Amino acid sequence: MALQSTASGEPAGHAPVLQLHQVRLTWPGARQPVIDLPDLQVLARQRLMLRGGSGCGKTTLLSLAAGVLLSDQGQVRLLGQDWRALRAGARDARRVDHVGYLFQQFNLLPYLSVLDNVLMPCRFSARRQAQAVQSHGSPLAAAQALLDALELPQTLWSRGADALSVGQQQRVAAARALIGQPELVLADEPTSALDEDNRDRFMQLLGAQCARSGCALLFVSHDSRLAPHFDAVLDLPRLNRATRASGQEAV
Amino acid sequence: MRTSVLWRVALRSAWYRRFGLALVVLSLALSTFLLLTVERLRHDVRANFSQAVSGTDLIVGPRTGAVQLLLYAVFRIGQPVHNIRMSSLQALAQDRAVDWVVPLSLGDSHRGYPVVATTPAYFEHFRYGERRALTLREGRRFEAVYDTVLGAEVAERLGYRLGQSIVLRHGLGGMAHNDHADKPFTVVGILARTGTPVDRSVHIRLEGMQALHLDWVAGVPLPGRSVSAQQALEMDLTPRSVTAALVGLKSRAAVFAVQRRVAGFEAEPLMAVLPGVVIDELWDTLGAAEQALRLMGLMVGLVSLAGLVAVVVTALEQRRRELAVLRSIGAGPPRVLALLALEGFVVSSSGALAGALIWSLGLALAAPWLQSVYGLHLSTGWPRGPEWAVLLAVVAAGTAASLLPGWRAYRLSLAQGLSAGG
Repeated sequence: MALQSTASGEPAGHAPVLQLHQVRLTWPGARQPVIDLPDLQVLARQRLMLRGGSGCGKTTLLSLAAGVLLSDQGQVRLLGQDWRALRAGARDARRVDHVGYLFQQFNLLPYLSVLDNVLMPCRFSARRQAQAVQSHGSPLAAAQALLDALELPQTLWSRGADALSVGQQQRVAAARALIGQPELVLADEPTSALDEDNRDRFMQLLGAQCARSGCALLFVSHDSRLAPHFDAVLDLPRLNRATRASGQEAV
Repeated sequence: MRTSVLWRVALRSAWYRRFGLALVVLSLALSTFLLLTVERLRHDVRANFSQAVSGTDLIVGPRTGAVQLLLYAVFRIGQPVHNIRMSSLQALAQDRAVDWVVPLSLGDSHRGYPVVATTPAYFEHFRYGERRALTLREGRRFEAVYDTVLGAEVAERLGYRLGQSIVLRHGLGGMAHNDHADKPFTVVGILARTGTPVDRSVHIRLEGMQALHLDWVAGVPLPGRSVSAQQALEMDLTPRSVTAALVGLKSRAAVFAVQRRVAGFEAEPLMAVLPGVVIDELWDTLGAAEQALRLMGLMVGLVSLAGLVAVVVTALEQRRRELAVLRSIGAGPPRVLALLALEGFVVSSSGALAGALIWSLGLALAAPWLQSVYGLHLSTGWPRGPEWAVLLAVVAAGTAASLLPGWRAYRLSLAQGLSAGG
């Protein structure tokens, strides 16, 4: 039953960035748990895809990983630290220090420019800021380098974020998730609103930048065609005993 | 540092939504305006009523009910059962505490409006509202026996102008054969509107009233004995009795002493009442009117506040995605809530302030017009007393309403994780 991610291509000798162990979560008032996960871990620099259709707990799982939700039982450790041991304020600080987050869409603050959006994590986290300075000399240089690498035309950098197409917005969101080199990037179906060409290019760029920044990537999607972009692919409905149980009920 | 970033983000966010926020502020301002207006009306309608007469310390009349005396002496409603002698008033005027005495004689009417016969001192001493004196809109005070000065409403409703001739009618009834047609009066002055019963009064000299009734006895014309207007002028027109009198004292401290002396007057039974006290009693018996206004104010308040909450909630409901993004980059729920509360507070304060400004300005501009057209004297100036409570309620409700979506967003983020969908 051990469903650890031991797929090929995993760089050896890296400590896990994220570890989930015997995690259960039940919504208040619900009888069935929504998450019941024996074991899952994401290693440093690993690119892991969790595949599953809607309703299998993808977003909930990411929220647990980011420390926005706390599990009822079991442990969710980010860099060895259990989220449950931290107070709310400390969780917020730790999240921005170590985690980049990519939504399906509507990732950006529309009233800020592209560059300001990318720079937000550095403004909220001294650690991300320090790492951006270390790698590029300044957060601004880091943001510009990332936008450049993600192939966002320079003419758009100082435009308002709401002037961009969805595909462009997702690249800006990726730059924001990656700036200051967080250990883990969590992505919740960021390609679902993109067309095919855009999607593949986006995945290539995201993968390349994760590798360059040394970030691990935990990516949830229903889209099996994305599998080649990852070191490992796991099937979330098989992993999550909660959905298996309800699936059996349905049969 | 992070907090200052958040404030900057809040400002940028507010600026981005400036059109929507301006509408929220406007809607709040209108609610505030409405609430303040109803509250001020409620207060001032009572003040208008209770200030139908001011500056008069005592009203003296024949012994009757206090409210009845007030009703005909001030509100010119109803009729006195009997009169008081002029000599009694002359004696009263000699009292060392008494400053002035203005006799009033009632009983005639003109097309339903009461006729008040008095002396020129009436224009000196009669006060209403906050010690406001009567002013003439046009013309002059009465001088000749057959001069008349009209209240604003009389002149306006009947379309009278200066120099016009009018005929008074004996009694308050509508029978044409009671007309004093032989002695017409000339309009010499029209008073500015006061919002008091003065507006509905036709003022003549006591001597004029006397001239009208030279050839009348016990309410009917004496058959075969008619005195022409010209003849009357040559006769002694000093009235022997009047209906009531307004009395001013040199010092208000003496009011109860004088009241006792009037009550103990030996030549005839008299009474003196304090107009303010009796008017308050009268208002309390008419309390239903005030209750209705109060109830209306309450309903307007509830509806406005509900509208206000709806507007604020709708405006913020559209920010759920933005809040989710902020959370994902490290802004925790307490910070986000503080942000929403601050914005709600600033927006509702601006709305309340703008409403109060519009209201103060509108009141200052509209008050003279309301006074002249409706005789409704609304006090102007800044909010006071319960009106501050109205402003505070608007700010509190607006701020509380702005927290509701924050709380919802927080609950939703518990239910759906960081999902920005919705």
